[in-house]
Amino acid sequence: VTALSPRAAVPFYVCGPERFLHIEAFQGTAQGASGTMRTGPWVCDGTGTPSPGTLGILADSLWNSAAITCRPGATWGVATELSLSFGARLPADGSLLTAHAAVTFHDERCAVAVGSITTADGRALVNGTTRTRFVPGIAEPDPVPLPADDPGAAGIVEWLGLAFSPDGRTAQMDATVSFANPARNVHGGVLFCASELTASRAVAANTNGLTVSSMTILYLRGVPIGERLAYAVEVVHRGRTSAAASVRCHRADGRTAALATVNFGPAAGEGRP
Amino acid sequence: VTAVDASRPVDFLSCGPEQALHIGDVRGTAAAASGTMHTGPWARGSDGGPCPGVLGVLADVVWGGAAVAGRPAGMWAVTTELSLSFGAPVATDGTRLLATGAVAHLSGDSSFATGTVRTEDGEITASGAVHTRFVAGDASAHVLPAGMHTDADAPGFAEWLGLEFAPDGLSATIPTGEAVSNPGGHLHGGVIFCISELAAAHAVSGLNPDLRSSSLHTVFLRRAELGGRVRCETDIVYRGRTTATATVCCLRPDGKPCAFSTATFGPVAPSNG
Repeated sequence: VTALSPRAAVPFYVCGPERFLHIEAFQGTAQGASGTMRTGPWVCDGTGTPSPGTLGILADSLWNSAAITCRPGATWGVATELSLSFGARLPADGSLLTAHAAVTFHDERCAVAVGSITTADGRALVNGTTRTRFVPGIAEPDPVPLPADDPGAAGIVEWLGLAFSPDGRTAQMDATVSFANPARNVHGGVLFCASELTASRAVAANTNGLTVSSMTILYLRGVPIGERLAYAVEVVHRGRTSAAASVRCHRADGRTAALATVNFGPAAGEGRP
Repeated sequence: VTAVDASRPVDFLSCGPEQALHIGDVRGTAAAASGTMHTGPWARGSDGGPCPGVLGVLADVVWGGAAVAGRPAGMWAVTTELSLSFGAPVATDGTRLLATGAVAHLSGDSSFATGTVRTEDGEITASGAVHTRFVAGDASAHVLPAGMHTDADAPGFAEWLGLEFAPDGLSATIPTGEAVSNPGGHLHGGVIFCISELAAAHAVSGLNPDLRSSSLHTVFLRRAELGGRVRCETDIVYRGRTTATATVCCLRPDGKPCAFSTATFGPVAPSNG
């Protein structure tokens, strides 16, 4: 096994989440990597509102790939943390988004990458950080084969198969092969996105004039494909112009797989280019 | 979108925490701001080791300074979130740390800035983001005379703050006098960030002394008036062999939460790659 180096090309694996969101080939190295994502109805939730959580899939995929190039030999990289600050409103008009990433530091155990996602006209959609831990056991990933055709889905909620409880405080989904990452666990961006959607439903963000202002997710345990995942939301704070919610994602064995904190602010303007 | 004067200078209003931590030379605009912190024993935590939480004060001042500089005319700003990913350990040897920040997104009622803190050698000690919300009013009444609260004899920032831990290690309090005020006359956001880190680190170290803080994300929910003691309640969410996760709820004297933090811990300090 040949260890990658910070100067190696950033790897790009087309798994189910990348394909569904029209995420395209990555370029560059750990010093500066980029990738694109085509917007469209696939980024929208069940109400037709673009879900900022979908950007977690792009960020997790590109930023973690940049971090992985710094891994020692015979190890792979798993994201342990993803933190995003949201700016301009996510479009769904078919425009192309561009993501950038760069590793800011690394050692033999972990790497940290920072990055951004901008609109086609240069407005900041996201800035953030990911932390990746190097683990032994998977020297080179062997991604699970995808079905030839992705079943049509009207939007991200339908694609995820998220089923919300009537009170909006819990949700469930089945971790199908479509959600796999290259290491055959559930893609961290999928956990991020599902947590955002569940939190937004719990605080009724759309009807209260709120939008996600930032989100941090901690990945505590891997989730094998085939599990049934359960999300539980605790609304930590609800004010007139802000809200905060904590989301726990539980595996089938009841253990917490991920813990997310989702913060909401007023649905704001478009930002400046 | 509100028109912004990108050349508006950063307002540096030095209060007690800035003086206690030897933070100065804060300058720049919304486009790019910088500031320094001279390290020393004041950057130590309750265990005598480096306290990464003090970087919250520096980041709040410098990164937040850039974000505040983008405010509309006649407005002030309050910090709503502060998120730091820690890298190289904070020195306590008298060397200088350099913080730089720039606004990444700006709308008429809020903004966020991203930034880094580096050592004199260029190693990244922290990277992250600060979110601010614009509010009516001005703040300049609580700027203190230079040196008023500098205490070179204090063994560490925790002692300077008067931090006290409960016997179970899961609760910590500080008195909230004028020394820990921000320019608006409320408890300084950087101090809230720092005591949250100290509280979580103390609770985690009781379970695994080999872990150190790797990141902290704080969302500020309500202003905390000065007077009385604020209390941090720590909940260990996850404890593994090499990582741990905790949440910290910071409560005002009236029992209402004023901040909610998520802290992560890893085994060793990553060195710059």
